Amino acid sequence: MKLLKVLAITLLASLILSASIIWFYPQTGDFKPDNSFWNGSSKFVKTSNATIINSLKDIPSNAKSVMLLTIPYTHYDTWELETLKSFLTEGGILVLMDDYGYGNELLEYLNLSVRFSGKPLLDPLFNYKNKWFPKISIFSNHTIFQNVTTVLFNHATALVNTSDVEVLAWSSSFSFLDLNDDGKYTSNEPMGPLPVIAKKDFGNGSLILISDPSIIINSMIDMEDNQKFLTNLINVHGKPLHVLFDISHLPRTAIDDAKDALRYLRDIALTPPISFILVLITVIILLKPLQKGGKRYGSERGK
Amino acid sequence: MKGLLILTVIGLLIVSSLHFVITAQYPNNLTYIPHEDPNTAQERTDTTGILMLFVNISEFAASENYDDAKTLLAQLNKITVSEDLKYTIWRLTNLSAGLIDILQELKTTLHQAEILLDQMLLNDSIPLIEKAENLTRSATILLREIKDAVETLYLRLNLQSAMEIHLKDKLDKLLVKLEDLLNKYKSLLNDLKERVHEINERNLNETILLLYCNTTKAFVGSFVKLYGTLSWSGGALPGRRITILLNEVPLQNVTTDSNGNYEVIVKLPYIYTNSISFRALFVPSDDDKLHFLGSKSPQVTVQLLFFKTFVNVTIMGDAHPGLPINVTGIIRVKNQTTPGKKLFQIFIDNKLLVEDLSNPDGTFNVSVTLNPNISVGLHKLTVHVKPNKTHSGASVNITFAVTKLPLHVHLDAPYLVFAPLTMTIKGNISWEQGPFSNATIIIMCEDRIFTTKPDDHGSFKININVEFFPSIIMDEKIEIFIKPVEPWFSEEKITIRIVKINIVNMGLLFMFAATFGFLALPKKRFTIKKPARKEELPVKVEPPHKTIPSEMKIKVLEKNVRMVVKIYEEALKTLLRKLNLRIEPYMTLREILKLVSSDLKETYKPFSKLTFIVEKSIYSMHPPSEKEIEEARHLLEDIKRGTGE
Repeated sequence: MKLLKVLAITLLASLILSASIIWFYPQTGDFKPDNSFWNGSSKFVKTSNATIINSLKDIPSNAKSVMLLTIPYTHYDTWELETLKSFLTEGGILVLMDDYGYGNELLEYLNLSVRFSGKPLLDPLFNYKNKWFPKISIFSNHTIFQNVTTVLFNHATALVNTSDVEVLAWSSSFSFLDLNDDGKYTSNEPMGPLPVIAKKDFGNGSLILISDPSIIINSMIDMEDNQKFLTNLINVHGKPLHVLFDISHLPRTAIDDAKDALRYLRDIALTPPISFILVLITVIILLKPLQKGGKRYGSERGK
Repeated sequence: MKGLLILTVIGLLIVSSLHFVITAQYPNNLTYIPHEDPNTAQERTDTTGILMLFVNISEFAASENYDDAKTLLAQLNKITVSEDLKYTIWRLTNLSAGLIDILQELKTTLHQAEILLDQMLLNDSIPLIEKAENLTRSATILLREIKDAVETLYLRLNLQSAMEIHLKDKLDKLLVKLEDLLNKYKSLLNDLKERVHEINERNLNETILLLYCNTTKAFVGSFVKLYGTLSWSGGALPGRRITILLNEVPLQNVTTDSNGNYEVIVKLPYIYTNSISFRALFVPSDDDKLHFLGSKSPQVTVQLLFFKTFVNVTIMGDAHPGLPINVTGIIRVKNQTTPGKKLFQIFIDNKLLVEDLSNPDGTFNVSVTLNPNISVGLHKLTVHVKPNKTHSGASVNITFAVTKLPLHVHLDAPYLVFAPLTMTIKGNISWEQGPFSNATIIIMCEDRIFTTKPDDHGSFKININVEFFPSIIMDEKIEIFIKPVEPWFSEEKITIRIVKINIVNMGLLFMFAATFGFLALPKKRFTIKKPARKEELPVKVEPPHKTIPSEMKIKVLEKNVRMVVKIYEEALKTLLRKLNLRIEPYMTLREILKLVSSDLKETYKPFSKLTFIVEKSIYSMHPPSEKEIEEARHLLEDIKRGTGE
């Protein structure tokens, strides 16, 4: 009996301790809005006043004046592709930021020929520190580049087959797509200027393609004119749009799952019926000593 | 022991599982890493890129595409190079820029000299040939220095890969090509020098070309007479073609008469500048090439006269998108009281919106409707008066601000709302001239969007069901957008914060608190310090002496019970202190006796007796006598002795 009691108390204490550690352990996942480290997007979310959505089901029905930003690092389901298409058709602005992910699934679904190359865009000359950080300085006269001189990318790619889109920015003429992954230019590899930002009017809305999502991470947002560019992007209609940041297609880690599970449990526990049951159980547990004490008192009196 | 073992095993399991949860990464489906930390990224200069850039610059220069080469050179200050390479790159850049400038100037100079020689203008061509000679010398020196700088660059870059070697070879070849280009220019220069030499050897006769104008001042559009003579040391040169140049551009040809004279009537162009210049040019042709040199007359300047036009413009009223603005103005002509009807154009941001004629007195008043999509802020309005013969044109730019008419929104929203009840947001929209109704109101709340429209009085009201949320209380941001239909009204955005209370969870909390309160009550009831029943004891006790008044009796009895309890408390405290024990509020006197007596046998007897006296005093109907109090005191002393105090 005593052993069982020790075991139960130890297990309960351990579970509470583990849950607390997981709950309070800082988020470190790439692009995560609550990750304030170098690879998180907490700064962007704060400056853009973005609303985080965990599922594309959360897109509001009125798409006008709404900008949805999505980073497709996991596959899209068919219903999600249809949702995004409807969002565009109804007048929303969809910013598809991708480099090596699954953005092409959406482009294919929208029946567009433009694609994210998926191969590294390297610039051996116009870069920050090394060729993996290409500086983008060739822009169209679109308002999103107002007062923007350079946008800095980080492990980016380029857009290909851009005949059906309006290209808005290009990499330098010394950049190239590293098709054979040797990190060096070889004669058959496409050379710059290569399209990196493009726009396509779709239905009543617009699709904006950016071939590097890393410009929004905390360590990149203050580099060169990245912040200015993102601000202009949000103000593309001359006034700030309501920004939705889809995090349902970001890469996941075990701690994300653990935190989500805890949140799920918390939400369940805080629903009225479950709250009631839990309070009831707590009350019963708290009243148990009273019941025991009462019995003892009674028995003492009986003697 | 067993418990400790279990604790250790569970602890290890928890720690290892936590470690897994925190550090475990799922397999990444991406082919490449999406980013690296720019602050910790390694700085690496890519030799291929630098070589490629110089190859491109040299390629442009070698193909005489100097402007593109300069554009590329201008980008060199943006490239990323390591500190040790910076000087070499900077030097090479400067040398290349210098060479490109010289080659471009050399090309132009040689071309001009060639034209002058073609025109047999020997004296004019010689300074240019000398200049070209100097430029050639400078270019030769610079090219040699560039070759040295490139060799230094090769050494610094430590070229190894096949691509790097390929680019090095290409750059070497291009430097040779640049040398060939310079040699080509040198050859051209030599050719020109040869031609000068040949012309000099022919001992050709110099010609003299004179030019006059019948006036020094004239109105634009009027005719002037230009005349002059062509002669040589031997006399006049009849029948020769003379070209009249207006501002150095050929205007008209004329042939000299038998006396070598020429005369031409020229209409002055409608150029509204202070003056224009004329020159005459004689270029020998056919047989003349064997006898005469070419010649150019001195410059003749004619001051241009015209009526200068001025325009003043004012915008009446405020400018709003989609609404008209009144542009009023006056066109004046210097030295003329009535300018007459003038054609004018109005542009906004360089886009033509109106073309109209002014009144005969030069005034105009035009209504210009602004584009509904025009952005708020400063814009440029240009009024351009077209020139008309002797009247010059005029242009004026003014900056005006486009604003939107503000809407005033009075909002009545609760600060505190309860879930799952309904919240009502009411409001009223007005503008400076009264209520405003032609708008859509969008309310964004809890990720839900509600829309409504105001009534004719500008009032609106919307009921929102406050949905359940997990916690008891939370604050929420509600954004209200007022989107007017007319573009000249400003959109308004109001953000309010409300506090929501989940009444179900709040109820549960109260229930929980009430239960706690109930639990706290018995705790007091079992406290030994304050026996709950002591107040009732005197009521049930029989009075020992009928003569004692009942009030006094109660007081005596209370005092005795209190004395016994006090002695018991002192004894209990002594024992607890000695044994380092703690009692719980719910423990009975017997349980306390059992607890304190198990470890200290010496005090068991006196403390059990004392316990009995206390039990009798507080639970029985008989209050303690003086004798019992005295006994209790003795027992306390025994206990103290037993504990060594």
